[in-house]
Amino acid sequence: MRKVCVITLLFIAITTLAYPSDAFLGVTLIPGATIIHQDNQRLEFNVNTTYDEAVGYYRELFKNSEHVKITDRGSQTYIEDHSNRDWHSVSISKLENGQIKIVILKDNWTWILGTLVLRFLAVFAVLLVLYLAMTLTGVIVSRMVSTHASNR
Amino acid sequence: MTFQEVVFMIEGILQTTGLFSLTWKMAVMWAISGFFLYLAIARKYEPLLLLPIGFGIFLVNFPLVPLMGFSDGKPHLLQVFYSYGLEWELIPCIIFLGLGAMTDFGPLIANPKMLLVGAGAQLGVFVTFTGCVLAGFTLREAASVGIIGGADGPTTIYLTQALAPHLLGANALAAYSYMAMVPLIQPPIMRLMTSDSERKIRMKQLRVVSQAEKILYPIVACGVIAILVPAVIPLMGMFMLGNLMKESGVVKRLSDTAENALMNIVTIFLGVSVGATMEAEKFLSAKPLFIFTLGLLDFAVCTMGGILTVKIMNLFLKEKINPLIGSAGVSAVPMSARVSQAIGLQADRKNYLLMHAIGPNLAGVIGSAAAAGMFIAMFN
Repeated sequence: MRKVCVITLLFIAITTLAYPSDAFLGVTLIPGATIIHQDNQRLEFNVNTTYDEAVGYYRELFKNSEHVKITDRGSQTYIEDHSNRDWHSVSISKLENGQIKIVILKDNWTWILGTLVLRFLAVFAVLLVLYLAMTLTGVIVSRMVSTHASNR
Repeated sequence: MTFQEVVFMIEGILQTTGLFSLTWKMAVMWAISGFFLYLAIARKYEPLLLLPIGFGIFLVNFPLVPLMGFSDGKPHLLQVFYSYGLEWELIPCIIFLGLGAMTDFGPLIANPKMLLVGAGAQLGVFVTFTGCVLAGFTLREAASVGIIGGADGPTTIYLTQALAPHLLGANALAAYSYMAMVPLIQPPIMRLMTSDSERKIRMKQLRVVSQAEKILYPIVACGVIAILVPAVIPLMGMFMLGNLMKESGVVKRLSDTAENALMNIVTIFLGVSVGATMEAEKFLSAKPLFIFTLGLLDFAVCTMGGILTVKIMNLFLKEKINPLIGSAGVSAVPMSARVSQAIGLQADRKNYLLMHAIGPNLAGVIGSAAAAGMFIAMFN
């Protein structure tokens, strides 16, 4: 039991040292952030800056980071990591009440497996649409050919 | 001239040779090159590609050779081939033009259900992706390794160049090596996954496809793919253009050039450029070895995926499909279709599956391109 406690304490100490207190999984928090929810998978916080400032802050933060994809979705900016970092995504949203909410998610298998299954099904969908298009074209052409033959 | 000066002069001349810069890693690469040359020349495994690839590996693994890189800002010979051919993603697209001009889509048009088999055979691509992520590859690297199982060389090169260019040599080599080994890899899996009675299923002869349908097919297919998977249209667009040139019959000179002269020229540049990316310092690491291991698993799972898809389809179909043609869903045209035919003949001497297997085979080309498009769209 003592060993477990020591290892746990060591782990906490190392992770605390590895990431500064104003960071989650290596992603720095905007100064003055108010944490709404935190567990080991997810951190949600509000900031009292404008949406553009918040987006600008994280764009600057990840400016030189390789394999980071930033997607602008109107009132939400979604930052996604495609390498092996501890975090998976940072989403910055402008809520209806004007507040800016930022969510940092830990790298997780749910996302990877989810996206893979969906993309595998999407390959089926593409070929299914092609199948339907080919069947339809085949029917039309066959009718045209038989009409043409009977007219002769 | 003193004796000392003569010695210095000789030493100076010797320094300009590669003698003092040889490393053991280069010797390992010569052995690898020798292995691929052996496969190509003695065993005749994919010689059109493995020969130039093998020789490309040999060429670049000597010290001081001005082949890959730049001198005074000017690119070296193979660097030019690589930059314009692969970095610009020109060669895979031209290869697809030639492939299109060589392809008869008749069996697929006659039985379009086979398109679904081509989709099912991409299972390994996604399974390998997961394996690579588990092994610590980045998502981009994982996607580029996964596509090897699609058994489509140009697609593998196209996707790898787009997502993980540093893995180009290893991925291309794994893809072409395993494509060459399809007759060795697939039969045990096919036997394991099918019963004797399934292997004996005879399929109805395919209907005759009219010329009009063959002309319409590349236009319709291109339109559908351009709307649904635009990321991969450089490949599929050229593929369908080549096929339209062939089927229309009005540009015989062009289709003849695309499938013969142009294809041959580009194949030389492709092979030697891929080989040239495999310099010892870059290639001799754990990743390429891992890629080769996972590539094999990838091929196996893709074969299983194709067979399983046929079996699932058979649950709903009145006229059953011989599951042996499911393995042809990995593209490897026409090698995997021939394997289906061979295994089918072993079970029933009068069961000719070749034309039936060409359908899923061509569907596999489209399926692997669609999978590649999904990955490109995911990252870009």
